[in-house]
Amino acid sequence: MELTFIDFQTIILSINRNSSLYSSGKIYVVIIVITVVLCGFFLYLFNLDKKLKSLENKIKSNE
Amino acid sequence: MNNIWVKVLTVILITYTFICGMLRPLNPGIMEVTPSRIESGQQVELSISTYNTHLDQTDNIAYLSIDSLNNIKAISFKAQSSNEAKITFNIPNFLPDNAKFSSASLILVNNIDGGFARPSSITIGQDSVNIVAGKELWEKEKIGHIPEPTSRGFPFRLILEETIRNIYYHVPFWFAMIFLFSCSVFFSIKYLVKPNENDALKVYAFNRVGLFYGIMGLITGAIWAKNTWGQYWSGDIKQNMTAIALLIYAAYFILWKSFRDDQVRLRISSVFTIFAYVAMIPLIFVIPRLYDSLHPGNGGNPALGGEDLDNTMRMVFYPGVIGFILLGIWLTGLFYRMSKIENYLKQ
Repeated sequence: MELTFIDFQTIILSINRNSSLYSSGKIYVVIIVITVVLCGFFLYLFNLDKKLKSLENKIKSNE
Repeated sequence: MNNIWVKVLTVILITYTFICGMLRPLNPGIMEVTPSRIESGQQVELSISTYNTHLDQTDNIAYLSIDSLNNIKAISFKAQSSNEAKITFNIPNFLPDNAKFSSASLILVNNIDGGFARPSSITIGQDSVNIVAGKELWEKEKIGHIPEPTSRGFPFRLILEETIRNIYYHVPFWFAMIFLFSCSVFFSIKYLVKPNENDALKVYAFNRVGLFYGIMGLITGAIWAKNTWGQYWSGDIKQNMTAIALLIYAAYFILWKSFRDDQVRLRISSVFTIFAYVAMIPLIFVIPRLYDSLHPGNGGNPALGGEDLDNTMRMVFYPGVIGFILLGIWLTGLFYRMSKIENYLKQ
């Protein structure tokens, strides 16, 4: 079965309406906070990775 | 922190916090009651909407309760769905009170969800006062045996609702930040007593990760605040004081960059770390407790106890705190090792 964008939209809407977890109760706030926490850690790791790369390049140019 | 098992433990604890913090449902609760104002001596039908309940699968009993002695029982309970019902009460002619108004709590009891209530949800008004007759009318009914709920979830709190889970993704940042800053002040004292460049590099790494944790705590807190207190930044005393403490720590990094001479830099920034730590303690732990605050634990609000953090939550919260602390130490170790390589390359 092929799912188009519209299908996804209707699925998400029906989840919003029917599931007690998503219908109310501000669960989306928790989802946003978790996303922010993970994104924060990932960005921090990317930053560290970039710095290590520049150090590696320095070592290579020294050799 | 080079032991592989400590790293594995970190990953397990944080994964556990994320999964268990999301999976367990909330306890049942009452979201809305209409009308919220009724008159004595009438028959009223209340429409209620509840959360995580099974009203249509079992028999329900509803009470209106002014206090533990004065209760009335509903004369009919019509469940419309698992989370909606219409309840009819015969409100007695008089209230057991001298006042023109009394606020009553709505209590629901059933076999699946146990007992749950919405405190002070309804205001009952009366035209004439007759306290003796009122007491007789209200004291007849006693709230009977409340069955144990079939499953225990996280506490249901009005306004907070599902966002009570954010305790696991916001508060551990602060616990870990305090831990990391305490480590940094320990190593800066160690450096000042007996200068050893490695200790100063550790101070730098601890401050770096500590500041990152503090910023993450502010961001996650702001999102949570927007959806419960109404604004990202409501000028709450704890928010303001934490922002000041973090700015002091941010100054450390400017200081670190501003010296050419290594000896002077390590010495002055170690001294500054001690100053920043000493300034942070009253800013975060003392001042917010003296003023009114929206945060629990400040201005006389209780914290880390009661309905804000019960035993089901502690089982997720404390592993989360330990996990975040270990992750902070791990990140610090990476930064420390990196700056050691940097120093080696300079020579």
